[in-house]
Amino acid sequence: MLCFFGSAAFAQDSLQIKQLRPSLQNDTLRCSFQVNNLFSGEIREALLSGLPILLELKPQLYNRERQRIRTATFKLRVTYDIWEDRYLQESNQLPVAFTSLEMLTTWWNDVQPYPIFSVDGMDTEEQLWIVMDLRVIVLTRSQNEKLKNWIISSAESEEDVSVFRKDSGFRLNLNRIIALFIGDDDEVEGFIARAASTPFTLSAISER
Amino acid sequence: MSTVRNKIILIFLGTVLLPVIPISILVNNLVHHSYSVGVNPSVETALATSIGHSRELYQHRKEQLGNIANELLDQLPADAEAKHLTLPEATKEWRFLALRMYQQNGRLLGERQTDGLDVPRVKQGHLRHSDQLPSGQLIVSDRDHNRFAAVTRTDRSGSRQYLVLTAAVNDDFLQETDQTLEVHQMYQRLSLQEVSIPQNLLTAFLVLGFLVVAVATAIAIWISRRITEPIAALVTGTEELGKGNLDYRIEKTSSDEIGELVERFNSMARDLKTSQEKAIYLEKMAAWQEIARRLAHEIKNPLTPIQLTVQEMVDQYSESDESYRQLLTECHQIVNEEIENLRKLVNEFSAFGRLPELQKERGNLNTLINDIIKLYPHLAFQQDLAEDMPVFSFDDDRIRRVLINLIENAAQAGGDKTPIELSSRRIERFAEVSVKDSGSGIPPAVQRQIFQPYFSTKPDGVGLGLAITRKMIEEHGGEIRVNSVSGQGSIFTFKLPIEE
Repeated sequence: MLCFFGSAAFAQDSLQIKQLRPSLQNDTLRCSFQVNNLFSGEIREALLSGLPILLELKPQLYNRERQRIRTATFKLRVTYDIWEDRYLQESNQLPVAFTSLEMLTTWWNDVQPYPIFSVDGMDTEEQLWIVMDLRVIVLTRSQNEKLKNWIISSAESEEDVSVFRKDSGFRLNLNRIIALFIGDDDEVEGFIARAASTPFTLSAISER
Repeated sequence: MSTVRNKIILIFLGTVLLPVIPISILVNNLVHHSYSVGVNPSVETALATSIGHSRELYQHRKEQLGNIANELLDQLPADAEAKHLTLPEATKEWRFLALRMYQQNGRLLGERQTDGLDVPRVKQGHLRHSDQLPSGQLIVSDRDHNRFAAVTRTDRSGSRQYLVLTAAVNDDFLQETDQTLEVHQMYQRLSLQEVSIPQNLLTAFLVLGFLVVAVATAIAIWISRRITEPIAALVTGTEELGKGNLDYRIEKTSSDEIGELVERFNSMARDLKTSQEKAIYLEKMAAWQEIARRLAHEIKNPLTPIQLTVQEMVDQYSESDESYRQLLTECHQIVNEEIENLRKLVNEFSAFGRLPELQKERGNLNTLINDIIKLYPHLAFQQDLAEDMPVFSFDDDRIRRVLINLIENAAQAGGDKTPIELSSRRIERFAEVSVKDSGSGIPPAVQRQIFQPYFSTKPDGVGLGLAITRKMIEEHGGEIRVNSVSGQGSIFTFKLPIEE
């Protein structure tokens, strides 16, 4: 299934999504899943340094003809308050606080049925698949801007390059030059994982 | 020529690429090395340790606040009222902002605040939260506003109460810890871009290097064209000269050595053409001289026998027919006149055919001109002779004949009344003399042939005068030319090389 839906870019200790299990509740399609190795490696280091981690869940619903009939995007932000030693997860739902990384990791290891689509009016016998993409953005543009500004404001490595005329007043700010090579992408550093569910029908999952 | 051009381009490119490649490698290594100086496990460990210490200190400060709150609680009587609340003195670490006492239901029993401040109260949820803690104490932190509240639960006199001590940390502490955290976070950001930043730097360097190579290539092509195009033109020019096209010239497009070479080529072509024309002219002149010499010889010989025979016929007539005798006498006279004319013609042919060898002697051209003028007292002259005319070597007799010929032609053209203008001047290595008349001028078509042998516009002219004049001048290595405008007379100008 993953071969059909395209390969995912795995990184840092094989970030994985698995065990996608759809369920139905009040015309809302929900999906539980597991994410392994989320807060490890570079993500863990970035989180523990206080940098916010952006998570983007993108579920897509496909029919038997392999047409994408639904798609949605859910954004979450996880930050660690170094001073108060607590983790805060913010999303479109109520924020959730964790007192340890283990608790946060446990939450993601077994994500409870997460509401993803409204299936009101859909054929309950139609065979469907869910493909779930997870993007973890460690360094965003705003973080990059902070890095650039921090480099430029540093006065440690300015050099006077007035070679031909002593009084030219031209000063080469190496920091500013280096800052030019920090990219302007929206997502500077990130990781991606993808998984697909087994085929199901709405009528079958409503009986769970 | 493309081989030379390609060589120049390749050499140029090689010279540019030679340092670019090792510099690229050096820059790559330098960038990675520089990056690793700042981004490496040692730095990371140090920063993490620093953050750890800062956090411990922060926790200690909060514990300190809690202890102070506990001490205040111990100092309060069991039935404490608002009047018993006293805000403690500030310490090195804390500034105390407010002290409040709440009942279990959250009603405020009393408070003390720092004058002028309106310190916000804690939420009721915090009071309830402290109930759940075994220590009965909760520290509520608001770093952004530098406000910390120690909520301490107490069960006195059978009722539950809460003592809330609100304080602010010394600003330096929070600022220093925030700076430490900022550095730690910056390090993380740099660490996350450990590959991309050096890669971008190297990419930019390579792009710059490529631009340099591209510009160098363009310059090499331009330079090679500037060098090889004139050389190719010279090659073509040489081929044309070899084919006999002495009028071929190359356009001079620069003022450097290549331009100098082109100028020299054009000068060589001009000289070749002039020499060729001179050679052709001299050959013609030699041929004409040979013909003149033979004609003179063949015509001269029978003239005397003819003259003597006619004389004999007249002398031997002894009859008395007077009319016939008179006829004989008239015929004798006519024959004698024509024979004299033929003798003159033969003499001119002889003079033309047997011009003596050039004999140069040092002399002054102006002096010669003045001497010749004296030979024509009946003619009017205007003189403009150069004062700096040097003494140099020339054939006095030949130049004298040249001047006489030109002056007599000018007199014929302009008449005796209008003055003949004579001028001399020195132009670098040449002495130039001009003879100007005020005649009717010479048509252009005639000007082109006027120096040819046997060309004359005079009804009784032989046409050898100007041909002989030109030959004499050119034997000196000089030149003669005519400028004439219809109705404004003609100027004959000749120049002689000044040989010391």
